Amino acid sequence: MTTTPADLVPLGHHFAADINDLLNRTVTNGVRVTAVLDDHECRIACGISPAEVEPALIPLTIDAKPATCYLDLVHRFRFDDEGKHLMNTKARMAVYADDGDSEPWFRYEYVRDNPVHAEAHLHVHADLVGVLPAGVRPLARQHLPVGGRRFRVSLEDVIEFLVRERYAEPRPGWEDAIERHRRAWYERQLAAAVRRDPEIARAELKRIGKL
Amino acid sequence: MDKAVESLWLSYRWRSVTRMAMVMDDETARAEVASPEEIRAAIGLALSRLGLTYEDLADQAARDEFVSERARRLWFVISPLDDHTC
Repeated sequence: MTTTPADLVPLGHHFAADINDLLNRTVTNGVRVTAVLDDHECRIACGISPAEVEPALIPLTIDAKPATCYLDLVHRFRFDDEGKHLMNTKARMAVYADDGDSEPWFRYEYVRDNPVHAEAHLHVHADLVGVLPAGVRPLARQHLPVGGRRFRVSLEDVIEFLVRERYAEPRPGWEDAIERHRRAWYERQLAAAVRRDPEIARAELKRIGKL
Repeated sequence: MDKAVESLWLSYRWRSVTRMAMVMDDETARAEVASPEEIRAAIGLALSRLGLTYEDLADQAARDEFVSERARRLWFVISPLDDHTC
């Protein structure tokens, strides 16, 4: 039986709920990202709907105070060949000083199967005058590699950075939320890595006497 | 039951069931299915707000020279999944 986008609504809902839980237990107040599925993909972002594809920036504030910075968070998933899973194909986490049209401070991006640049990469929107060799492209246009597909920088890492460097005010208990979500992220990525290379996993388990 | 009425009732019931499966909304999140027409219209609306066409944006992405940050952000959301210009 052919899988339809409607069949994958629970998965999209699960991903969106997971992100909302992480954000609202750490650095945001009542933020609600949504999942929109069409015939080809599932988009997850804040402020999107079947009538709106332009995401809203997420203010990082835990109460009525002005936000200290803003987060642009987008995930795009393709349906896998079996039609049972959502495969993260593009992802973006960018941090802005305001909610206008200014350049971001930095942006982490993930573009699966990218033949040109590192799949997981970082753009830093700053100039290092006198540091970069002549003729080198500005940092904002460079794709600095960060960890590869399985072990790329996660939303948990970005939130932790912003809190520890005091760019975002955290909620009480934020560290527990980060730890719980990060552990789930690592487990999902590890499971995917094992599916990809089961022989390596089997050999290692055998080596340490677990198989 | 009259055949026509039965057919109408079955059709209504099917639509209701389908509609339920197309939206999942609770206090934790919302997930929803969009038709191709809805997505096309939403992309057209977002582009018109920026005063750009899809081709304009694709060209800016190919040159990595976006006219604005909103344009860059929009391209990431509407570009083809196999596009690598981001």
